[in-house]
Amino acid sequence: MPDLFEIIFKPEFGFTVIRVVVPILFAALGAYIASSAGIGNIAMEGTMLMAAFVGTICSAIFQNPWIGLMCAVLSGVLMSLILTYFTLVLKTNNILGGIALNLFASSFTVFLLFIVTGSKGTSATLGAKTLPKIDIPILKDIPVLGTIFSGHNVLVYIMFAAVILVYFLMYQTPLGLRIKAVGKDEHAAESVGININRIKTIALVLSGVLASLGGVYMSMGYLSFFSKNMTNGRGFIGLAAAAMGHGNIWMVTITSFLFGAFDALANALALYALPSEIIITIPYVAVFGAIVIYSIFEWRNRRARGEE
Amino acid sequence: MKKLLTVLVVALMAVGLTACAPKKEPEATVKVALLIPFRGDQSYFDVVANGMKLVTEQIEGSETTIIEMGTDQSKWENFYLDACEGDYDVIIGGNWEATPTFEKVIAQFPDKKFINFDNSAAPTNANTYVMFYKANELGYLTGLVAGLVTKTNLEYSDDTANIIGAIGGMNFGGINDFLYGYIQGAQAVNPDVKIIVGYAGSFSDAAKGKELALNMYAAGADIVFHAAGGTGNGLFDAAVEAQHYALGVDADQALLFAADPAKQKMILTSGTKNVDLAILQAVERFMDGTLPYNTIEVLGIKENGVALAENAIYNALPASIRDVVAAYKAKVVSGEIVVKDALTLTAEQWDAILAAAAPTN
Repeated sequence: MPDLFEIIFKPEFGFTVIRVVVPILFAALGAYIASSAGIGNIAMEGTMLMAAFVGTICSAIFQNPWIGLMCAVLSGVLMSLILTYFTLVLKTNNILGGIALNLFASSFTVFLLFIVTGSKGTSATLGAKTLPKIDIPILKDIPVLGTIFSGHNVLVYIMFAAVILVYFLMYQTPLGLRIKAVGKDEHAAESVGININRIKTIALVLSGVLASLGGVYMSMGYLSFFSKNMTNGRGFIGLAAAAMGHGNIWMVTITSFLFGAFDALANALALYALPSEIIITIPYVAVFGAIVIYSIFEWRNRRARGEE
Repeated sequence: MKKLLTVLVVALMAVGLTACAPKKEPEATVKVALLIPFRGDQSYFDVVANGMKLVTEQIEGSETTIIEMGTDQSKWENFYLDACEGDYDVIIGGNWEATPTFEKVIAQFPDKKFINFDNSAAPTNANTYVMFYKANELGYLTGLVAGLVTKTNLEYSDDTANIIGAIGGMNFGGINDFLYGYIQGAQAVNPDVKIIVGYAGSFSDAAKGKELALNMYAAGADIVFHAAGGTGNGLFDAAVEAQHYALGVDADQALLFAADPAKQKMILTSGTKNVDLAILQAVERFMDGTLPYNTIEVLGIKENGVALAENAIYNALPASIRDVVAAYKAKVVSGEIVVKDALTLTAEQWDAILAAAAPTN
């Protein structure tokens, strides 16, 4: 039996958690903004996958990862605008629109991959450029903290910035207030002169941008190539984290990190001769358990306050 | 505008019709159809498809067709039916996923001849020849290399930890067969070696593969093998990051990274499943009339069904390593060494094997 404490209380474990959490947290932030505006954007997975693909290809074509990143973000915006068109103009059910986009992304990326590389599996032959890793001056020399926080991919720091930016957007700006107002009750919002469609479009585009950052991290940070369906459900895990966060950005962030931490733990435990079926389910079971406990506390608090 | 369109369409159709008109061509010596879900995975199915290329090149006057059925299994039956109704002399299909559909269709065409290129069970129809590959012997070969490399001071390995790693896609007999062979191979040449095995639970999660590999390298492994499909692609990224070695599977995976020499040189060799050669041999035997129908043949090292990719990277290894590998390979061929398989093991037996091989801590 491995020594759990030895695994967890090592600075390298903290580094791993951060590395694992990036795509999940980006997706969770995106899903959080969309659901604040009252839209379940389940196209996160497809948007991520598309961005992962577009990023790699453009990075290979222009031999510049930053142009790859820009193209990926544009693809995220485009995917969101398609979903917006489905839901706001054509009035389709947004879940159906999301499913359509996810299916589209999973096969369209393989189709384009085949055209560009002749492979239906990976873009490894392209030799695309990846985004750089950054050593933080001063911080990198501090023991423990330096090991955990320095030397990550640049998108990791963009992720931390994104959490703070999304917090300011949602809690400190009129736009954030409007997004939440539309999500709570769109008729009430409309009655005070808010353009609902405009707000929803903005929310979806923002969620698409965040998803695309998570996707591009997969293919140009975490890994150095695109491979078929490489997001492998991380967009959906992000959606789950956003849902479990109960519309509170800190809870969304913490839940994402919980997923990441248990995922990293499962990866570490996978090396010990333990039953693999159980280890693979650890992140899901653990977060599910955490949410049950959190919900019970919430419910008790509300009852104690006499709200129910 | 409409008129122009009509003219164009008619012109196109005319061109199409002339293209369809029978051309004077010598009669084919043999017409072969191969049915697979898709090509272009740069791994397993590309090796299978390469079998058709070998047939075209090496059998004079042969005509080959590769039919890509797609991944929607409900459509496979129609593809097989269409192929059987065509004028092919022999139809090649199968692998574990498609075999049930393939055999169902074969039962309706008792006069045709069929080759199943990869399945573990004997054919249910008398007009079918089945091939299977000894994954345990493939794993054995890579295990030999891993066991020797980890106790040698090479550029990216050293003799300190004596630990090697392996990533499995999922925990079931077909995958464990690779891993069991790997364990036996490594222990044959390095009895004290410890083997870390980790499962990803997926064949498409390259990021997970990278995490597992990084953990293995961090735990002291200096060479890691995988039997995990697309998940294994993450292993090669991890190898570059950790500056240690990796081993590929099914096809010569170093070929994938011609554009990335830093990664390529980390992939010392790959255990290859030579489905392409096996298909060529089977078609040749079909033409000679020596193909044994209603039979399954299991192809190992001896039959060249599995092998090591002896590419430039492998040949740059010290002769002392390659000589030992060759010696043990010869012993398997002669039957002096029998590599045990994992297909008949129970879950408990397999867990016990893994626990015995794992590093103690």
